[in-house]
Amino acid sequence: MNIERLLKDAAAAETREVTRESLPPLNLPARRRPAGRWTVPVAAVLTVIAVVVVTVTVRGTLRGPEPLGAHDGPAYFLATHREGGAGVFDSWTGRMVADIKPRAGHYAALAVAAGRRTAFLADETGPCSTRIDKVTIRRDGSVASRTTLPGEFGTRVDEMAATANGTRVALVFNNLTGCRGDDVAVVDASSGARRGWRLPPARADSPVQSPVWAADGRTLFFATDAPESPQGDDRGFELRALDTATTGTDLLHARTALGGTAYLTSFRPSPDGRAFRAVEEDTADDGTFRSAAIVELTPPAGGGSGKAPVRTIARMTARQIAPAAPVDFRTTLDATGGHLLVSSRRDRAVFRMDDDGRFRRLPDMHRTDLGLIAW
Amino acid sequence: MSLLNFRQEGPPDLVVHSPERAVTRLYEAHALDLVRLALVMVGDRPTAEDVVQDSFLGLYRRWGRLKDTGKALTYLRSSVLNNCRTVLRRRGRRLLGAQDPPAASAESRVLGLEQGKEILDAPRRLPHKQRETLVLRFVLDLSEEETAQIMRVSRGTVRSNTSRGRTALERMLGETP
Repeated sequence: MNIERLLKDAAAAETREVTRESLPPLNLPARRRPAGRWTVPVAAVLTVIAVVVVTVTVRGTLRGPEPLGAHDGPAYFLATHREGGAGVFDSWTGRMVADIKPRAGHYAALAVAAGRRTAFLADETGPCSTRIDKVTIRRDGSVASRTTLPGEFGTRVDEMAATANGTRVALVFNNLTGCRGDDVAVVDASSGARRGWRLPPARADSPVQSPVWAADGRTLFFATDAPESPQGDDRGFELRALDTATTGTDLLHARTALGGTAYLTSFRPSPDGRAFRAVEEDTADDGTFRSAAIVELTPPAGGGSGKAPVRTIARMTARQIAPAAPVDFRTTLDATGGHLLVSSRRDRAVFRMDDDGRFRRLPDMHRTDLGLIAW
Repeated sequence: MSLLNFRQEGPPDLVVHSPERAVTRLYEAHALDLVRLALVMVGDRPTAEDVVQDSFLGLYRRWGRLKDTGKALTYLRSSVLNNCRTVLRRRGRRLLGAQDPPAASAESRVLGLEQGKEILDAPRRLPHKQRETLVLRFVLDLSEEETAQIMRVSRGTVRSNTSRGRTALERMLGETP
């Protein structure tokens, strides 16, 4: 499906009848002349802002794929695929170890606990109907058990995050596609007990994204659009910390952990919660992959509302992975923030990179149908 | 070729004319494209025309305070987008939420996709930044730079919104697994 073409054609059809002749005339009010001849001389000094900081860190040219250490990173990752199920894939070779077929519908979101033995899969059984499956994974990547959490959600799940021990899962809902309900819910994996939070109506247009649990299993971090500046300028994301043990259902009561920051994904807090790792994606005009980097943000001392500097830990560039040049790619970090996975549907390729910059292409991965990934 | 001819700049002699004349000339040159833009954003023509009239009225009122009248067109584009956003917010989530998602069966979905209105409904349900980015980039064929200028965001933000919006649209229109 070519989204660009569809939109363009639909817009052309919709606006076909708007012609110059059919437009109403412009009605301007009578303008009051300024009394007196004192016109306001405004000498606007345009400050030229030189913006470009292109930090090209050339660490040697075109390093080829290198072998990673034997025990680096999680052994398996999960990915949804075209048949609607989710596969467990060996994160060294790309070989599919297990295929988890949904009981009904298709899997629309997934999350893996940091302990790497528990995963949650959101089974979208209807337009506004989702059930959550909990899957236990053996050390060899095979599926030991699958249970469905009690109850159903009358909306769509966009993203999920599991606590490190897999006892709770946070769900971020998508209510912009015709469904209604909370914006975020936390569900107890054993009892199915749940609690929901909502954005205030004024912010309902700024969806919650990138949920991730702190190490304490109580604080849930999430990203949302930062409020615009008084001049109406975009300030990027802000990362908020929701204490899920306190009362209240307003998501914006969560404290700001990071102020306006660039659009990053896959936030991962450090064990002490004082820094965050994330993925910075860079694409060309046509959406082609340019690079993906593991970056680190440390909130300024004395409060999280200030802007945190972004430090690049390791970067994987299109040149390095040539000839593959993913157009439709997805990235994710593992729970530690030390390992990055880049999946490209159309290039049949999955790459992984460690935070020391070593990377490799998974040799046995030749699928074009991978969707969401969780590591 | 772009649906709209937004790459043309306004008349070069705006500065020497009275505000009435200058704004009227801008209206004559760009109202058509701006109404089409607004129509794509809000979905009904009377509202689209109101939005554009309001934008020109706002420009007229601020004319004396414009630092650079050569950027009047950029101001107008931003203003139209802002007014569309206000309209959509006013309509509220409830109204938008009342629209049913695409039909479940493959046949009805394909039929639905052939209807332009069905397709244009999808971006209207996106967060406003993604919606505006997709319309400016894909419907109007504006470059990343132009889009960034109109939306007053960085090029990186345009890329990010494009990617997220495209993914969300694919999902709404039923492609992504």
